[in-house]
Amino acid sequence: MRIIVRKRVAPSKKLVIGIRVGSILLGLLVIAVVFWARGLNPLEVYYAIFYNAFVTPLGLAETLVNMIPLLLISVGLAMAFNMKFWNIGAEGQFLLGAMAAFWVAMNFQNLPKPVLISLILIAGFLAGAIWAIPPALLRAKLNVNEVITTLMMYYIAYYILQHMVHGPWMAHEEWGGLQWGGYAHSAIIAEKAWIPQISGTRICWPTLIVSIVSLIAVYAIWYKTPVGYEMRVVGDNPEAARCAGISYAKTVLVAMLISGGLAGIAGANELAGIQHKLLPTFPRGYGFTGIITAWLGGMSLPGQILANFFFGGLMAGGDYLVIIFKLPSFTVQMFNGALLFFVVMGEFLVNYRVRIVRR
Amino acid sequence: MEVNVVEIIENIIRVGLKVSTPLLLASLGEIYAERSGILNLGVEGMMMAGGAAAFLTALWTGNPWVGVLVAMVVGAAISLVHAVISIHLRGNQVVSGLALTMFGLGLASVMARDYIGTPLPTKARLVAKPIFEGADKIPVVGRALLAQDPLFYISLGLAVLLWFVLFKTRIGVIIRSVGENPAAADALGVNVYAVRYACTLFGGAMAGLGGAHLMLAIIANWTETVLLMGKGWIAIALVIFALWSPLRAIFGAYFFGIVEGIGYSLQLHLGMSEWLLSAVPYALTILILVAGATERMRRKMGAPAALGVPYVRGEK
Amino acid sequence: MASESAAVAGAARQGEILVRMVGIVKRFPGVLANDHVDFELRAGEIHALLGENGAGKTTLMNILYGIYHADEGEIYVRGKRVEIRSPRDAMKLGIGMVHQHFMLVDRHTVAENIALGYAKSILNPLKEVKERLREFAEKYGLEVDPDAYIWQLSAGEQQRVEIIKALYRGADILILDEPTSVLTPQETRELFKILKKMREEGKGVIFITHKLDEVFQVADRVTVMRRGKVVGTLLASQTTKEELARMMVGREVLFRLQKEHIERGKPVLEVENLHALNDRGLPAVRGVTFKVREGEIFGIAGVAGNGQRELVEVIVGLRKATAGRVIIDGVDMTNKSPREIAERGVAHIPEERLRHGIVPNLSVAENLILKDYFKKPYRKGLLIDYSKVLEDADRLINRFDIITPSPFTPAKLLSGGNIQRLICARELAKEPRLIVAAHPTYGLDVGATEYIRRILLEQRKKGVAILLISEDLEEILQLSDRVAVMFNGEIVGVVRPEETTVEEIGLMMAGAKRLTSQAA
Repeated sequence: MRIIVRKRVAPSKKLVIGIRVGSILLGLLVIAVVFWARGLNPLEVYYAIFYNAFVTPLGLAETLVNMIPLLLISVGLAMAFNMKFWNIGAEGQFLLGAMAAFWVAMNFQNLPKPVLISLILIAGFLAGAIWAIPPALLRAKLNVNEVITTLMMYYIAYYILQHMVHGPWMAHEEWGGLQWGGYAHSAIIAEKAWIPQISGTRICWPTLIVSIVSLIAVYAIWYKTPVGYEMRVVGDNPEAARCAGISYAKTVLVAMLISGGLAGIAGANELAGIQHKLLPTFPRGYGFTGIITAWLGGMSLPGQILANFFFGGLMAGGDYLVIIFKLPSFTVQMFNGALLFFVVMGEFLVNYRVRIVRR
Repeated sequence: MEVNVVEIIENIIRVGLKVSTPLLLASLGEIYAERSGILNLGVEGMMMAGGAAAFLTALWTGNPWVGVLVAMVVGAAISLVHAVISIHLRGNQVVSGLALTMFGLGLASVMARDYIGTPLPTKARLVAKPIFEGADKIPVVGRALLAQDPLFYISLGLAVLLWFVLFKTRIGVIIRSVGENPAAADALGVNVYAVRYACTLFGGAMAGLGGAHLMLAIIANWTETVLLMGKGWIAIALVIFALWSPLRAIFGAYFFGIVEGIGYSLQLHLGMSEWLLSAVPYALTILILVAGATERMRRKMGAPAALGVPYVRGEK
Repeated sequence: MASESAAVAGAARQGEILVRMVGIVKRFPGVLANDHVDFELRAGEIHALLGENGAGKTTLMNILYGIYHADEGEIYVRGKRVEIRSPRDAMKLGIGMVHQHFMLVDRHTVAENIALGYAKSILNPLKEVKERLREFAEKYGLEVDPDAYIWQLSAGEQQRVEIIKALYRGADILILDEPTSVLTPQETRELFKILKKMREEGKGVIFITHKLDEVFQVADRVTVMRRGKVVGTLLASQTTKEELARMMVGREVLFRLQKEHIERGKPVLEVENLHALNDRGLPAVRGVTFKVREGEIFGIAGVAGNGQRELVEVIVGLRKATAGRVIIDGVDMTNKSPREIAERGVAHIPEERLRHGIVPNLSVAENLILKDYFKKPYRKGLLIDYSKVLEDADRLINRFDIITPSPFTPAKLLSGGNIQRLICARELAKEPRLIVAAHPTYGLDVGATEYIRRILLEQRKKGVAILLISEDLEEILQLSDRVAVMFNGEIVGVVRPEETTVEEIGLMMAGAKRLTSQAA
């Protein structure tokens, strides 16, 4: 019996989708086994997740709440990944966006609400974009590994957050002497700075609009502009790009500005629209989950929407799991990791055709 | 407040060398993996999963060395998945490594969840002991160099041994050739896959070992913040800084550790913000990468030529 | 080093059949590389495997060496049926291979490379290797310094290391894949001497080549392959160049191309005392000066690795010149960006078309605008006008006969010849003043090769200046008006094809001759 492995020249779209979906299902299956080993009924767990994420109106809303930042981050990452620029520090760019938003919210309270909110989102974009520049430059000019630099920027951002929340920004008057969950926290931003939500849910509709507009802009840039063309060429064949006079530095910089900026908007939204204050436990892990959805969805819009909807729901359901089943918060990480494994393994089947031949 | 400069320096060196050890161990393993051509970004996950395993095992058995062993096994086992994906399935090694990290962190969290806040009893720890009577009385160097825990000395010895193997033996030539030009090695009958598997699993075991030291000699306690330390990433950066040589890794790791030691001192004696000081190692990592990059460009040395590229016999 | 194969080889009689391959079939996606091939090698013979690029010769030998597995067919070594699953199996059977692209680790020393294969001790076997090297030097004339790093060695020396590697492991069946492609004529003669010595020792040598002359210089028998099939096996002494050529190509081959006399105009490209470094920081271009005029094809001959690649890269802007000037149409364009140089009317047909020439996953249409996407008419404000792109794409596809299902087809799906047409279309559509063509027909089948050559001659007629780099000496001599020979980073002579001989060029390529006056 022999295994013949042959490279596929042009995998069909249907095949790619089929294998990706199959990988996720297989991953869920394996995780179900882990749950079972730990004494939980996997069916119960999955039912809880899916029911609470996708069926109940409140759950669906929460899924959307997660989906918005995920989508923003994921599309930006997909752009960068396409150019083999592994931005895994999106969480850091997210945090910078949140901190910039906080600063704006605290210092510009006199502006009319629409202006204030817009400024908050813009500040988020700028902060995230700026935070993304150093790793991009270092890679472009000195060929420094961006996996590590983007991640280090995340850790630095994380500790800056901790420093600010425990220090300069710490709020000393609490609400009637309460402290959130025993942690220090920043002042709660003025209601004027709260991004309005669709009533009954936590969906911030201005951010939703901004997200949709951003998505359209990103795809327009990707497919219809010279810069987008350059990014696609660089991503496909950097050598040919060089021969064509396309500057890797410029394209990577643009991609990272967009990617970081989008993550920054997500962070600003999280602060001004959802949590309304900074906490030590502010980071939600969108930056890391976004890596998986970016990989899954690629630059295909329907792919991105589906992947981020699914993982947004998984996060919403996962939150539920932490409360009800008392699983640690890092469980979601394990989920993510395992699913990502299976997706990567699935890539093999996308690129190669395997046949078992009997002698 | 009385400030005894000598004591401070001694503490800096002692603490610095101690916290360097996990970094050194993990990066030694990753050097071998990368020398064979496999990029394993899952060091953080393997380290913490190994660390959790070591912690739990030491807690249950009361013996740190069993914990060390289990940590190495766990690290190697997890790295096996990455190895299969990278070698046989020709998968994207960056993404697979990331998945490994996420999974390892999650696994560590799930395994040790019930023991948050439980400190390790002394007998279960790797305790620092003077290597001979009175060694710790020698000024400055005594407690710093001659009275560390056993793994510290093992890590030093391992580094030298691994350097020797890599550059002075035929096995080392094979490993390096597999990472530089796997086709050439294959054409001479070297089993490229086997070498890569071996090196990757070795890297996983070493990462687990590093995690074991972290948990059994340094922290000796389980908290959720343990999973946020990111030492594994620093180890990966150290590999680049060390130009993939175990000897240089020693210097890199100790340099890093000493800086961290200085940080603790600054915090302790001058009361500087613990958070900003915590950020220093990460900023430092970026700086050493930059330094490494410019030096590499100057010396025109670089990564193993086939690093991160799956090898398929005969594929064009 | 007593492997059983060595013992057996020692006892091999002349004429014994060492290798027999029967009915070998090998398929790759889209191509049948070996179509029921039979092949046989006897002890004490040099057997040439002749055919054009893509005929299936290398594939067949890779199967014998265990790098590929045959889909069908059988292999017999010394009369016994064998399964060769990996190079290790091949080596155990006494089969060694010297590949066309050397399988050496650049950064390691000669000793380390040889030790990679085989050594008794686990320590660095420097002593042992040095011993054996002395043996080989005496026996076959294979001299090489064990402590030298591979990247320091010339191509000829590297090849010697490869041969030693094979012999070190007791090979008595030696396969050489296009060994002379990196050698000067003199080094080739040395190699042939070595091979003949091996033949006397009773070893069997398989010699893959596409050069007819070599067959007659060194081979006993020759097997001709074409498009995956064996056309015939003959004794070299009983055939002629014409017959072999016909077997190789399938029809009468013209050995002379029709080239008209064109009046040359003013210089388009002037290179003055150009200096440049290679990737290792060593001097690669050392004071090169020449001019190319309108309506002239200026060929640069020379063994690969003598600075041609770096010279081309400097001219098109991909490498910095450390001294000297590049002047295009009277304007100093030294060290300007690739884009500025292209905008001056310089077309570049790159050496490696897949790696440097196209963007594989982008469509044919999108590839065609690779050099123009940022300009009018394709660029309208902030966007790219794709309707205009498609319009022009259709036109170019027609004009250059690019065979593609549609303009939207990803470029990687095109055949080699069509990819080259795509590149030509892209580069020539803008009516260039200078074409820099590096190995433009490498790896193409006969039809595509003729097409490219025809295009170059057409452009020449239009008054375009053409700089042609090629390893194919015959091609250079046929197409060029003047030929320069590069050796060690310098131009050692410029001649007219009709005023020189292959012998003279060979000497120049080897650095053994230098002309003081250059043909203008």
